Amino acid sequence: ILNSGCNNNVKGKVKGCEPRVLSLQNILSLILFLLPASALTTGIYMIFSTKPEMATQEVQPNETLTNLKAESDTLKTKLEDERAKLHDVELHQVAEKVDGLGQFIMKTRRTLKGHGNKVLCMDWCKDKRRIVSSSQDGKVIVWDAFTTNKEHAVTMPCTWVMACAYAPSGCAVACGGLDNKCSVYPLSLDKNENLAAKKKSVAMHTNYLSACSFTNSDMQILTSSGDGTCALWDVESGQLLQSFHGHAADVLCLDLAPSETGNTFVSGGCDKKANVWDMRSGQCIQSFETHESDINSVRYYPSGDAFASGSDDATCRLYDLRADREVAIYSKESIIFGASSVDFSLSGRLLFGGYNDYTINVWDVLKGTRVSILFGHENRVSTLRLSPDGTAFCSGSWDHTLRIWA
Amino acid sequence: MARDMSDIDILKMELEQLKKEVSTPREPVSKTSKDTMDWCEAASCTDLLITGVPDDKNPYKPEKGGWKNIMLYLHRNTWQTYCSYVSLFTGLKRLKLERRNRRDVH
Repeated sequence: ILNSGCNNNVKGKVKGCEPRVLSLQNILSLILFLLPASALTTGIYMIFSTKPEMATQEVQPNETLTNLKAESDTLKTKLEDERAKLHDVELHQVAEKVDGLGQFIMKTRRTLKGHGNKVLCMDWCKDKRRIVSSSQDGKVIVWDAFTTNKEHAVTMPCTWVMACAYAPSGCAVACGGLDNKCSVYPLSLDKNENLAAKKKSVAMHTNYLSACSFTNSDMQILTSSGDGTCALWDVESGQLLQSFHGHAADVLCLDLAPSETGNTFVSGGCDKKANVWDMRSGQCIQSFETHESDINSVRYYPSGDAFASGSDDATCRLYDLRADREVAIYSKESIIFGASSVDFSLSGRLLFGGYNDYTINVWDVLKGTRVSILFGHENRVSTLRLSPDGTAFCSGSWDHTLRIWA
Repeated sequence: MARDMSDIDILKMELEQLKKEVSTPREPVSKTSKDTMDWCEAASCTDLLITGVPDDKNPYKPEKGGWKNIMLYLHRNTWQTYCSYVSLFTGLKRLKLERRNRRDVH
């Protein structure tokens, strides 16, 4: 540009070339030329400078996921090591010196017929005589187990009533299912009274209600739901007192600790985990993940130091809370169907498991062997509970009946 | 709520829980198993399913409509049973006689 003003015949005529002068015109043309060039260069710089940043932003989420996974895996192995250090003996080895159980004979003593569809849940009243049961068609029936008479019947507005519980006083029942709520019905002596009119909605979840249980009084109720949470509610006001988050999938069952040992409960879910919670703080105290499939039922050992769980992987397992590990597995190669419900006898020596292959297996808890198989149901056993005085247990099944075994 | 959580949130929750659990106090299995066993043995005498309950004390034992029950009932009421058998027998005999008479009449 500077030389543009120079004569073209430079050759041999350098001396004759006049020196270029930076006139205003030239300066302006210079600026005009440089401006778009600079704009272009700054633009290119900006593009290149932002690109690396965007690249790192895309990589970050993946790195965090893998980092978290790696960290949780290392912690899990560390936890397993800590637990394994104290695993010095097996339960059945310690129990070798205990006498074996004699022949165990139990038969169906009563058959409660009246439900029109699959029986999903049942509970005993503290008076050892009354039973409440709920079924798929929405009916909740209160029975007298001695005489097999129906005392009350309520029709819920929803189907699949998967949870029902008797109040400790015997004056109310709670039930819930696909309606995402837990409703409490006060029972009255007057048989003609319409129970549905006095219904009180206590719990509200965002998914189906899988289990409910009254705490030691009529005033509080504990519920678990398909939305992955458990919650403690006040019956009178319907207020949420405490909620428990920690499961990664639907919570299917819960059980409260026997009253002598304190305010804890255990819950089992579809994430194969069984969690032990502190009711006051809402924190998960312990967690166990050894099952290979959904945990359908959990039940505390009568002493409160252990609990059993039944799962779709066809095994029942006993977990010791003080040793913080699984101490026994109750399984047999011939059992391939999942266990839907478990309960202990009063002393904890026997574990009753209701299975999806229509049978009830009775296990010796200490020795780990099967004591007896009970046949009778014509469809899968969905629920099983021991009576409060331990003389009998009741099982409900998809064959529309409940059977009392003694 | 677990269904609404993203994978990262679930992992974070699990990680926090694991951190808490690594430091929980634990006892050896030999000690806890022994305690469980002792408790179980002590409670066995109160467990009615193991010790068994005499039939007359168990509210469920008299089965409704079982064969054994019918025999028991009959045994308890032997005089009534005897009378009923006798009347049945005599009734049958009378029927036989009547039939014979009718045949003879014809």
